[in-house]
Amino acid sequence: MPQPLPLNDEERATYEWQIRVDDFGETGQEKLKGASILVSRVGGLGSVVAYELAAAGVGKLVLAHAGNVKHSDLNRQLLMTHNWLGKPRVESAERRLRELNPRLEIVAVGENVSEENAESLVSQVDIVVDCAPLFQERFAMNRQAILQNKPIIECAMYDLEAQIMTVIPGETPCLACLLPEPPPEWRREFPVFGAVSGTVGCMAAMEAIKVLAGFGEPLAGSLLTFDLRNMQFAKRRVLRNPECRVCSGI
Amino acid sequence: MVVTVEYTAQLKRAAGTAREEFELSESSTLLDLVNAITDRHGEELTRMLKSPDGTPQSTVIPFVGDDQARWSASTALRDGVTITLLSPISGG
Repeated sequence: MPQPLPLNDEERATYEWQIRVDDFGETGQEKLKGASILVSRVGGLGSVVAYELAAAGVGKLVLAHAGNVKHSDLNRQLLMTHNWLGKPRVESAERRLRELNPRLEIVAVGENVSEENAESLVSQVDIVVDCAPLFQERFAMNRQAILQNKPIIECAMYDLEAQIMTVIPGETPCLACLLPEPPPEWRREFPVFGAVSGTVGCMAAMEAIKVLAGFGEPLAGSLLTFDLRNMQFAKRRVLRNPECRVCSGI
Repeated sequence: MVVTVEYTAQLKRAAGTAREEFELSESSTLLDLVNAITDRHGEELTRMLKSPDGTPQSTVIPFVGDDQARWSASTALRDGVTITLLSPISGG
């Protein structure tokens, strides 16, 4: 977990409203200042996660996302802008985040997470937020988070629905406990509104803040599901798989 | 007994409904329910729920009430319960 760093007067003024939150306080803010988070990718989910974490005053973000901004990104990827079409997504994200928080350290990586780079990317941070669309990316991050004993927030969306779960290595189910293999019928492109990815992105940022600062009750061992079509929310209990290929030995 | 099934995401789309009821014989299990679902619905939902060998897809996560169940556990159902079949989804 992060080493707290003392706040200066500007930071106290910037974060004054959240420092008033019960159980958080200046101690919590100092933990956020010392914290580092990997967000992969910075699309519909990750843009909002990164933006909220930057606003909350975390010390360092590692952002991993390949490719250039396309028209079809702009309904939900809030760190991308029309004038950045055709240019690298991760550069747009870095530019927008610096406008919000010039104190933030950003490591912008123009690659998606893979088996090859996951170990290095996860090693640079205290916690991971998985916002990736492809299951091979998600499994690579999950595996490294477990191996390196780093919490990982899993979030996903479809249509007006979303799911979110927080994995604490050795304590809770991991992604591979729930999904032992890539789903055969899953499709890369799917319907979604930006307001749905934004909703679950805000929740993921709040989960990361709670875990980093050590307050509240994260979704550890629970999967929150919701459907904004009828505003039905459920907090469901999930099980560790004693035969999980990733976390069963931990 | 009568149970309610709730579908999410791609499963909901393939089923054409968010929830529906099934009448099952007493002492039916989750596996019996999956067979009842695939008997009622078409090929697309069957492909999502069952592997080619006829066993449930391991990536569809069943919940009885709010508790995850295991396909392998021959979970017995009871009258009035709601079973949610959670479709795998992702970010982007």
